[in-house]
Amino acid sequence: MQVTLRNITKRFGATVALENISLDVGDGELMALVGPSGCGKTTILRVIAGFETPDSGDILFDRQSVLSVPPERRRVGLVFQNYALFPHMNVFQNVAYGLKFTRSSVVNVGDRVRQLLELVGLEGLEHRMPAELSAGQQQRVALARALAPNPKVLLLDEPLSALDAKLRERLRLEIKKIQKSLKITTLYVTHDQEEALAVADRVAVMSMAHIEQIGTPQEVYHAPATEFVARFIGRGNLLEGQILRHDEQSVVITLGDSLIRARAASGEIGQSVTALIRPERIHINQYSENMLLGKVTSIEFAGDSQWVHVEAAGHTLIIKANARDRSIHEGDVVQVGFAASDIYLLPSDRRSPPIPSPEL
Amino acid sequence: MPPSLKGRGDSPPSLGEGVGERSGAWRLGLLLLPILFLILFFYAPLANLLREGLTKDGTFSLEFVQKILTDEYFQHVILFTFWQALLSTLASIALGLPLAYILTRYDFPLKRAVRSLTIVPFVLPAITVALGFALLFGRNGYLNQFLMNLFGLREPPLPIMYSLAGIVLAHAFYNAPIITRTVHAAWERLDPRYEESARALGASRFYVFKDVTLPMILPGLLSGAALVFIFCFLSFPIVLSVGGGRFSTIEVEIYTRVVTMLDPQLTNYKIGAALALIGLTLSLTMTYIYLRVQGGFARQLEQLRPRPPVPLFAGVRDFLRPTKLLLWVYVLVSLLIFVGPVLAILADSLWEETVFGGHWTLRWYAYIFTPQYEAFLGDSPLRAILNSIGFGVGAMLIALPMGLIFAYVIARLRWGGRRIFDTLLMAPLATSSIVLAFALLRAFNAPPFRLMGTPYAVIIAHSVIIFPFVVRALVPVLENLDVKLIEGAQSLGASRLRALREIELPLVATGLLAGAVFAFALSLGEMSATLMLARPGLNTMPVAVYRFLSQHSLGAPSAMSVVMIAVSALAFILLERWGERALQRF
Repeated sequence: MQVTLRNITKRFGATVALENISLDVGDGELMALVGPSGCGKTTILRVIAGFETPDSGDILFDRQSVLSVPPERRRVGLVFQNYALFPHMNVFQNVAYGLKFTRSSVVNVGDRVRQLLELVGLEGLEHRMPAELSAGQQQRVALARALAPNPKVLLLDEPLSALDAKLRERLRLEIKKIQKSLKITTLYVTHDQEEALAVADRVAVMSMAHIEQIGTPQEVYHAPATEFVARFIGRGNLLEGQILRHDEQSVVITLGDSLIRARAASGEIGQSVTALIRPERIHINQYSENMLLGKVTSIEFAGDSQWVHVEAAGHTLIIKANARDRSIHEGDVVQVGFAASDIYLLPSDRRSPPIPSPEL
Repeated sequence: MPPSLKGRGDSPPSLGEGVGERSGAWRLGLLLLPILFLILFFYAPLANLLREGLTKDGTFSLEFVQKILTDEYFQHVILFTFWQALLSTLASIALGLPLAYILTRYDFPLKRAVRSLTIVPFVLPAITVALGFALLFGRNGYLNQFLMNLFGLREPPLPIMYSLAGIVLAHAFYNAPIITRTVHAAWERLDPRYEESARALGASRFYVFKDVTLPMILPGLLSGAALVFIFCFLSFPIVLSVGGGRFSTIEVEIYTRVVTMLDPQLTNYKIGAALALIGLTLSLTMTYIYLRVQGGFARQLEQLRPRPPVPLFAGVRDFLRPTKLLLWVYVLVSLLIFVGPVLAILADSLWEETVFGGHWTLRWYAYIFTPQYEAFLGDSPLRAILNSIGFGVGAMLIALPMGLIFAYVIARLRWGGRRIFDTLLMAPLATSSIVLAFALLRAFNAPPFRLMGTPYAVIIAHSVIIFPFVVRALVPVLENLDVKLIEGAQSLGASRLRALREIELPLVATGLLAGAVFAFALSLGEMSATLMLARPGLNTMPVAVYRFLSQHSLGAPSAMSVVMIAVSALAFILLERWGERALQRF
């Protein structure tokens, strides 16, 4: 089922929670809503579920407005960060709860519950109470409970935030697998950009009650529409410079007292621009189109890689280097290089749609 | 867990730690003081009383207990005690639950004020409630007069006074706010996401309440209901005055036998003692259950997300919707039951009925403030007012320091003794004022401790009665104090005593003041024990009101009740300012 939000605005007293939000989630798509806390992403879920009425705008399920439909008849599945499993019901009763209200009594409740517990890998735990389950198991029960009445939309509100890092990574893969196998339209709210990139078909990046960008994980990572998105998604180097000259293939930018060549882009000569270079696209002591001389200020070891901080051209660059490269040391003077095609110039008008992204 | 509670228990502080060489003795002495007080004025007299109920001619005998349990009249008394407590509890739930719902779900002007007003019953003397009910619901009460005039009736249509219905309604007035408080507290801490999950799964509002909300707030409701049941089970002034002597509960029966019957063979003392034994067993059991339920409940839930507030009235048209009409009925009934009696007292205190009709007057106030001897009081009304103040201050001066030591032990020390102190406290809470006064009466009626007939008897009785309440008010205040602050002060070089004086006392000062006000107000409203211990010259305001009421004289007790209500209102305002934490356990 397709979910459409049209110009949704929601205020709580003086604070604007959602400002003119429009969003289209395709049938069977998993869209992640990501942003810092308080940006309004949970409010979007609550508006879709029917717990908040927008001040203006419309919500459509398959082009039908659901504004006048109460929450219990919207057929949304809801999973919260704290799971909200009914503490006085066992696992079976929790999962079966939604089946009590479905019209078709054709389905055998016991079969359906077992089928779902199998889906989330919790067979045999029917008679446990929520308090007797681990956090990960509780999360799976919450997912099974939400899916049991065959909802048309699945809404996940920070579903993994209460779990430890390892479990989080495993469960997000499982959620994605289940979502794909059921082909259920899903909105996935998280503040963790890495999680959003990992699970989503498309990501909507939010900040301060509005959507900054909607795109595939690759698009928001490599071609952020705004500086906010560039800073929020992944680690990166944002360099302020000015356009010095244009030609067909490239544009030359002054960066402090250095010049770098980037892929062709629109922009007036003399205009200030912000260039984004991802850390893994910068190389140390290797020939590249653009070379800058810098000094290593610190090195963070990260197991399979190392983060090298280099001061160059008046900026501190962060570079992701192979951990096996032992030749780099703090205080070294190094050459850092990057290809013109790896430089992405942020659109100067930050609210305008992104310029055509470079080939990925 | 609020941050201020963190760190409790990882370094148990103890009383007087680091004070010096004599700290051990100093600490022990301080702890022993309230224990000795309780033993001397509560446990020993009570044991003595129970012994009386279990002996005949100096040897052990179950004769009196057996007599009560087999006698049809006493069986009826015991059953009636249960029955009226049960009905009163149900009425309190019916009256208190809707308000809890409204307070939790809706936003409306004066919401804070309404919520705060629910502590009023704790400081409003029971006898004033009885008086208010008599004035409003009595045969010649305002309500019946109004209805008779309105419909041209010859008989009062609502025979509420001197009936079981009157007792139940008066108890509901008193106790419905307790239900509101406990249920509201539980409901507010219920994460709305449970209810939202259920709704998203397809449950309508009704099913959400039945399947999710009710089971989850049930511990709060049960704990409130248990407390109300105990209060109603032990209730004395209301049963005596509103019931008008036609109804006898265990408490009323003990009072009648001990105080009003001529008793040359002391048989009634024996019967009373056996009744006290049975009543105490029952109320101790119920108190134990209550404390267990409440303890489990206090740990159960923590707030995870505030509930989105819904305005009670969304526009003018909303005022007249059918669901809102139900609300209006509830508001009207509540106003009649809660505000009506108080207004009736106020009106009556300013009105003088004469053969030519009647007129507004201040003579009742002038009368109660004159030192004029009244035969049925055995004293002057002014004496009663002065006594009330004196006894209140005296009881507060005893109960507050004792309660503070006790609360400190319970709140702060992490050792096995904590449980002992908790348990020691339970018995006074579960013992009715009548039984306590009866026990004191028997124990201190002869030399060397001849206290009966002296003000000390009343002050001591009041201290023992208010003591558990003071402790329960102070424990949360002390628990909320971060131990790390004291450790911080000590690490900066302050001695333990200095940390106590400069850090702890200033931080708990408002809590202590609230405790003092609470103690004074409780003592001021106490009637049962006072009535049993009162001798001419020892009347207090509630006792005087009761004696006036027995004389069917209404203006003077109304004026006196207005004075008590004014003091209660003052106490309420002070508690509201200082005592939010102090009253959270009630």
